[in-house]
Amino acid sequence: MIRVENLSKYYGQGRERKTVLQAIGLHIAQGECVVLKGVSGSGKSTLLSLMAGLEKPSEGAVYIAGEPISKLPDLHQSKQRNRHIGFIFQAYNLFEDMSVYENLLAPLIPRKLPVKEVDRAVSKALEAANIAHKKHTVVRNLSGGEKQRCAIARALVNDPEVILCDEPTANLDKDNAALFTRQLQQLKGAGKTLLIATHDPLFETLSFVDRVVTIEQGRI
Amino acid sequence: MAGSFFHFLLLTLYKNRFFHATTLLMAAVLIFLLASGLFVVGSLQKQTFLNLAQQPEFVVRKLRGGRPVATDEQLLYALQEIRGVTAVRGRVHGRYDDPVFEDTGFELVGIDIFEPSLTRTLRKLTAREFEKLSPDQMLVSPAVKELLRQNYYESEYLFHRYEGGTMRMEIAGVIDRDYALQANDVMLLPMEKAREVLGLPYGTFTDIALEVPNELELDTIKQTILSRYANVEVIDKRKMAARYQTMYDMKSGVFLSLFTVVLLGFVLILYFKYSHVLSSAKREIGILRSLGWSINDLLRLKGFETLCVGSVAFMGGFIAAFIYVYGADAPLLGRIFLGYGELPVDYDFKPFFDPGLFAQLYLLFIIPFSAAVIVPVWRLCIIGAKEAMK
Ligand SMILES: Nc1ncnc2c1ncn2[C@@H]1O[C@H](COP(=O)(O)OP(=O)(O)O)[C@@H](O)[C@H]1O
Ligand SMILES: [Mg+2]
Repeated sequence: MIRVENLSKYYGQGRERKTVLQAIGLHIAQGECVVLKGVSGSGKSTLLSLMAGLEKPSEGAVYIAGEPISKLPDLHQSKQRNRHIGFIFQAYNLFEDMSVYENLLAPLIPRKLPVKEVDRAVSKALEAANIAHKKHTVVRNLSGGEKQRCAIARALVNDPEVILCDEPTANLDKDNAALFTRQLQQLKGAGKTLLIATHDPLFETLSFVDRVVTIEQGRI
Repeated sequence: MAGSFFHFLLLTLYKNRFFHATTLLMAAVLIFLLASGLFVVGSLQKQTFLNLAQQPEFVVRKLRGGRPVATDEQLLYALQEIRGVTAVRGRVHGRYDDPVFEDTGFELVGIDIFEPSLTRTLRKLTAREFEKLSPDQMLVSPAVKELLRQNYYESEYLFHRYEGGTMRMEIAGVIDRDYALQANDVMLLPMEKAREVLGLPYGTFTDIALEVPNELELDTIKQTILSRYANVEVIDKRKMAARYQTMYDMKSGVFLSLFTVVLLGFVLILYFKYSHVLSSAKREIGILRSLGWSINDLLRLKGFETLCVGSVAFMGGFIAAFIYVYGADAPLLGRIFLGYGELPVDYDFKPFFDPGLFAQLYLLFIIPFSAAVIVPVWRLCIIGAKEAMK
C-alpha cells in the first residue's frame, strides 16, 4: 500500500546542507499497522509529510496505492492525497474558528459531491470518531481529546485507505490516549493501513500493532 | 459541488469578515471618488458640447486700436452677402458692473423681442412657461436671481444707464439651470435696453454671429472676411471647442490629482491584501493543501472570495457616485470642477452613463484586486503544504 524507495531529504544548500532522511526504504502492506518509533528530531514528521506529498523529497520516491505521489503533478497529487490519505497532525491543524461539521466539510469540497453524500460522509466520520455530539461546536471550545477526535473524523471523512498519525498521544492525558488506541484498533479492524509516528512507548505494547520500525538520525 | 463549496466560501468570508469589510470599504470609497470624478467630467463635457453645438460657427467683431468696438449694421449686411453664410445675427452683450455689488458683475445679453423665433428660444431658456417679454422685462440666471433677492431686489432691478440716469427692469423669470453652466451671471433683456445700459449707439452690435452650415467652407469664408475687412476679428467655434475640451479634459489638473490619489489608495489596498494573504491566510492555505485541495481548488476559493468582495465594493462605490452626482448634484466635488466663480454655479448634472467605460473601469479594478490575492495564494501553494502550515 505504501512503498518508500531510497528516500532522502536534505534541507539547505552547500555547507549549510542538513540531511534529515537518508536513503529510507520501507514497505507497508494494505491493512498493516506500523509504528514508526524514534526520538524527537529523528525525522519522523518529515517522513510522514513526504509520504503525504506535503513536501518534496530530495531523492527517491513514495508510492501510495501504486501511484508515485511524490512525482505527480499538483492536480493529480492533490487528488491522490485527498482520496487515499488521512493525516492526523500532532498540532491537529484544525480551523479553530469553524465548527466540527465545517472542518469536516473541507476535505470533501475537492470531490464535488452532492449535498446528500457530503452529509452522509460527515455523519459517518463523526460516528466513527465518536464526536457526533459536538458536530456544531466551534473547535476552539473543544477539549484536547475532543479536538483530536475531530482531527480523526476529518482524516476519515473521505474514507481513505491510509491513515498517517504524527505523535497522536503527545498532547493527550492517559485516559484519552487509551481511548485513542481503542479507536486505532477499530480503524485497523475496518481494514485501514495505519502508520503511527511516535516516541510514546505505549504503542509497543499494543496487540494490534504488526510492526515497530525504529528511525534513528534519518535512517531506518 | 456547489452546495458545500459555497457554504465553505461563505464561511471563509465570514471568518475574515473584518479584513474583507476593511478592503471592501476602502475600495468602495476609491471607486466612489473615481466614478464621481468621471461622472462630473463626463456630464460637463456632454453639456458643454451640447451648448457649443448651438453656437454660431463664427463671431465677427470690429477692432479699433486693437480693441473691440461697436459694430455697425453695414458690416452685418455686407457679411450676409458672402457665399456660404446662411444667417447673420447682430448680438448685443457685455459686462455690467453694479457698484452696489462689490466684485460682482453681470453679463448682459440683449434679445430681439420682435424676432419671431424668440418665443421658441425663450421657452427653451426658461424653466417656467413664458410667452413673451415686454420691453421693460428681463430674465436672469438662478444665481443672479438669488443675489438680487438677497439685496432686496425681489421683482425688479435698477440699472445705471451709460448716458446717466437709471432704468427700472422687471425680473420676469429665471433661465433654466442647464444654461447656467455657461451663463451663470447672465441677465437677458430687450436689445434696445441692453444698448442703453452698455452704451452702444442705436443700430450697433457688440459682435455679429455667422452661421455656416458647410464645414468645408469654413476656412475660405474666414479668409474672405479677414482679407476684405481690415481691423476685424473672427472668433472660430472650432477654437472654442478645443478650449472647452482642455477645460473639462480627463487629463486636466483636477482630474489628474484625483486620479493620483485614487491610484495611491488602490496600491495601498493591494499591498494590504497581498501581505494579509501571506501572513493570515498562510496557515489556512497550508491546511487545505494538506487535505488534498489542489492549487486550482484554492485559487477558485480565493478567487471567488476576492471577486465577491471586489464586485460588491465596485457596485457600491459606483452606485453611491451615481446618486451623489446625479441625485445630489455633487456637492463639494462639483464645486472643484466647476470652479469658484463670483456667483455659485447652480448646476444640474444630467445622467451620463457609458457602459464601455464602466466595463473598462471594472476590469482595471478587479484584475489587480484579484491578482493581489491570487499571486500570493499561488506562491503559498508552490512552497508546499508543510512549509505553509508552519
Ligand atoms: N523545513 C525545515 N528546514 C530545516 N530543517 C528542518 C525542517 N523541517 C525539519 N527540519 C529538521 O529535520 C529534523 C527532523 O525533524 P522532524 O521530522 O520534525 O523530526 P521528528 O518528527 O522525528 O521529531 C530536525 O532536526 C528538524 O530540525
Ligand atoms: Mg515530529
